[in-house]
Formats: sequence, structure tokens, C-alpha cells
Amino acid sequence: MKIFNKKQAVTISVFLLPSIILYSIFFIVPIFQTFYLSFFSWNGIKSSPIVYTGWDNFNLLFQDETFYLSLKNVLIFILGSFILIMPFSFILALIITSKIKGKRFFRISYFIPSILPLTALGLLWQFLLKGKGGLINNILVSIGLDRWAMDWLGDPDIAIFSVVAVNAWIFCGLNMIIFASGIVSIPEEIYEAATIDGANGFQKVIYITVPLMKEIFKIFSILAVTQSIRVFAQVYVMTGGGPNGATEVPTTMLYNQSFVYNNFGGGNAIATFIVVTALVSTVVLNRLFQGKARSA
Amino acid sequence: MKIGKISIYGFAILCSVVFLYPLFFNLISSFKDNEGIYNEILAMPTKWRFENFVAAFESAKIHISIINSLIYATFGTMLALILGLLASYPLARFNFKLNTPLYLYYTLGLMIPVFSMLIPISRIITAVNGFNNYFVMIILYAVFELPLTIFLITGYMKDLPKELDESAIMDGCGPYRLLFQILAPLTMPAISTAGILAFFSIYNDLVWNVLFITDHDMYNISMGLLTFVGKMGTSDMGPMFASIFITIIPTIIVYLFFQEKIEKGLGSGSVKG
Repeated sequence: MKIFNKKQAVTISVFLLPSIILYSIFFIVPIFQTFYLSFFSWNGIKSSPIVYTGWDNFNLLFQDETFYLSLKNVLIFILGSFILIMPFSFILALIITSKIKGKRFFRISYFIPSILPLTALGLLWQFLLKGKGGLINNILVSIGLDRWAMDWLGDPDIAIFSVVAVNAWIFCGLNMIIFASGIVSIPEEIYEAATIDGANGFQKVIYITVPLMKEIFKIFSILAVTQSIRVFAQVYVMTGGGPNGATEVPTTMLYNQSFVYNNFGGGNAIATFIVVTALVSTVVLNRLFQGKARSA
Repeated sequence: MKIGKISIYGFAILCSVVFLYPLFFNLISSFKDNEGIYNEILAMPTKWRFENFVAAFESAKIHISIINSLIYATFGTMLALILGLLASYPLARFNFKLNTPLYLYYTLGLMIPVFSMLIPISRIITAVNGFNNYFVMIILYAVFELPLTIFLITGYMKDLPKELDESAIMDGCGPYRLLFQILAPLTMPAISTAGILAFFSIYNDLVWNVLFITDHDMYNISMGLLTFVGKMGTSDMGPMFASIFITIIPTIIVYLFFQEKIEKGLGSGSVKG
């Protein structure tokens, strides 16, 4: 491709410059500022001084119980992905790829929550999970399970599990589509051969579908971790991190420290932690799974 | 065999109920008063209170929030796609020294949650006095979508046959025409995936609107809803449900129109991201 040659450099720059400039100013530079500012203390007011405090913000963060709670909550989100989202999405994917009638209706009804605005869904569920007068408790009472009725979002012991369950309700449909794309790419002949050999439906799923979808399960695992680190709106809308910090995740902690308590130094320390964790986990998980794929 | 089939249908229908009933509940509650919402929770409304919807429009100005979300999402997506297309062309079709480092530079953003930039970005916005500014919001949204856009478009454009460019250039076609008239149409599957992802992510944004928009007339749906609910508390739930329902209608309509495209786009986009 030496046809442009001299002009080529000019062309390349003209095409790349607008995005490089904007992306650098509003993405890359801010990340480095996050790192840099995490060594300073600042209350967010323009005129007030920004003071260098060394590692203080990090020391404070690592002594903060809420921080460890937020990490535990991320872990619960990750576990929720594997315990709730993975099996349900996979089963839903089997349903919508089977020969069942009304497939299109089922597909749409399972998928709809995952495209709706998170704020709207969060507010809706906030009401459904209310201790007094919420839909869930009403249903429990009406079928005689009064003892199970609780203040789903108000009780610090169970609030995080409620949020994780709602999160699963929202995103099952999206993951169903991902699993379904894997299922339909398996050639029909394999199933036909298995049928001739006398395999039943369940055996076909366990011995054909699941093993042949290894790649999709790997991708799901990477997503489960990387997306759980990013969870924000669901928690912010439903509980704001409460009650008493019980549902705090790193992103809501970052928001609350910075914009509620005006502790911007602490906020940046959390942000730095989020960036490092996100980068490390993405790289490590990709390596891990690629390595396995190669050796397999 | 028969029992198996029936139980599959039963399970499929039960799941539909689990996913759809909350939305249906939202719909019927938006016609009720507090009395009906709390006490006859599962029943249809006895009196259909259309004034709840009137309140959602007049007091919550929810239609303005929807229009704003559409403005942010449409222009933000367009800007992201234009910038992304321009950048992808040299990245995908030229061999030059900085090719790989630049590609990595852009895709680095895929791994970094945008929340980590809350403070520096708000410092920039404060410094340029960029609060309550459509233009500022659209640029921010577009930039946040750039890494995924460039990743998707470059990946697809790379696989188009190189002879396309060569013969086009032989025929005297300049780089802009080559990109927009020849390569872009062929890259359409990736462009539409990137566009769908960007549109939904901007349309549903929460945190940037919370931080940088204080003018009620510029609120997006998230801010519109949160403010309305904050103001009303639980004193009158009907209008709140009405406003939630109004915000989800446009998304459902768009989804039903472009069902397959949206499912494919969101599915493959999240896999690659």
C-alpha cells in the first residue's frame, strides 16, 4: 500500500487526531489524575487547598471496614453470577432454542428486563421488596409463608442478597442470548447421531451441549468477574449502599466518599483500587482461560 | 414423554411470569391510588386514575426527560460512531509503525470502569464550567463509548479484502470516499452493533447525569425518575409508577421493532467487551 505514501502520513493523522485528542483528554489523562490525586487530600471545593498526604488515603482505605464489606459484596455479586445467572440463563437458552411453541414470546419476555433503564427497574424493585406492603411479602403472606416475609432491602443481613437477586433477574435474559448463540452453533448432526445411539434429551445436554460450549462458559466467567466490579446503578438506586453500608460496593463507596462526604482523596484511592483490580483481573482471567484453551 | 413436555411448557411459562409480572404490576399500579397499591396489591384498579399519568407529565416532566435521554443517546452515539469509524480506518487498513500501540491505547479503555474517572472528570467539568451543557455531555458520552466502538469496527474492517482499497485507489478514489462509501457500508454489521450498545448505555446513564446536570429541563430519565421519587416519597405512589412505566415504554417499542438486531448486538457486544 505505497500508493498514498507521503500523503499517507497526513491522511492517517487527520483520521486519528480527533479521537486521540478527545479520548486522551476525557479518558486516559483522567485515569492518571486519579492515580496522582489519590496521594492528596482535598474536599472538592475549588478554592480550598489540595494537600499532599502520601499513602494516607490508602492506609485509611485499608483500615476501613466498609471497604472490606464492599469487597465481600462484589464477591457475592460474582457468586450470584455463577449460582443464579449461569444456570438460569443456560436453561432459558435451552428453552428458546428448543422446538417449543411460542419460542418468540418466551424469548422476548425473558430478554425484556435486560434492556430497560436500570433506574426504572431499581425503583420498581425497591417497592416490590418493601417490608410493609411490598409485592413479594404480600405474595408470601397470601400463600401462607408469613415467616418468610422480611424487609428485603432494609435488613442489613439480607439486603445484599436481595440486590444480587434483582441483578440476576435483570441480566438473565442478556446472558440467555449469549448462551443461545453457543447452542445454535452446535451442528444438528451430533444430536441426531446421539439420538440414534439412544441418548435422551437430558443426556444430550450434559454430554454434548455443555462440553461443546466450553468457550461460552469461559467468556461468561470472565464477564461475571469484570462486570461485578462495575456494578453501580442497581445498588445506587435500590439502597444507595445502605442500610448502614451493608450493600456498599466499591463504585458506590467511591461515589459516597467523593460526592456525599466530600472526601475526594479517599474517593480517588478507591478509584485507583478499582482501576488496578479491573486491569489485573481482566488480564489474568484472559491469560488463564486462553492458556487452558491452548493446552486443551 | 408427555409429562416431560408439559413440565417444560410449565417452566417456560412460569419464567415468563417471573420476568413479566413485575412490569405488569407496575402498569396496573400506575392507575391506582395509595390505598389500592398497598391494600389490593394484586387486584386490578377499581377506579382507573389517569390523573397519575397527568402528574407524571406535568409534575415530573417525564416526557422531557425521555426527549433528553434520546438527545444524549442519539448524538452521543453518532459522535462515537463517526470518531470510531475515522479512527478504525487507519487502524484496520494501513500498516504503519504506531498501528498496534495505538490500537492497544484505544482498547485499554475497555478494561477500565468509567467510574474510576468520576473525580478527575468532574474537575474538568468544573474548570470549564460545563455543567448543564448538552454539548459537554454528548462529548463525554461519546468518548466513554469509543473504546468498544473502535474495538468492534476495527476488528470487522480488518477482515474485509485488501483488494477493495487498492482497486478503489486505482480508480482515483480518495480516502474519505473510500471509507464512507465503500468500507463503511461493508462494515455495517459491526457499526450497528456498536451503535446499539452505545445508544442503550447512554440512554440509560445514571451517574454522569447525576453529577453534571442540575437543570430540571435537561434531566435524563434516570435523573427525572430519581428526583420525582425523592420529592414525592411514598406519599403518592401512583404517579411514581406511572412515570416509571412511561420511561420503559419507548425502550420496549424500540426493542420490539428491532428485536433480532438488538439481541444480537447486545449479546455479541458484551461477549467481545
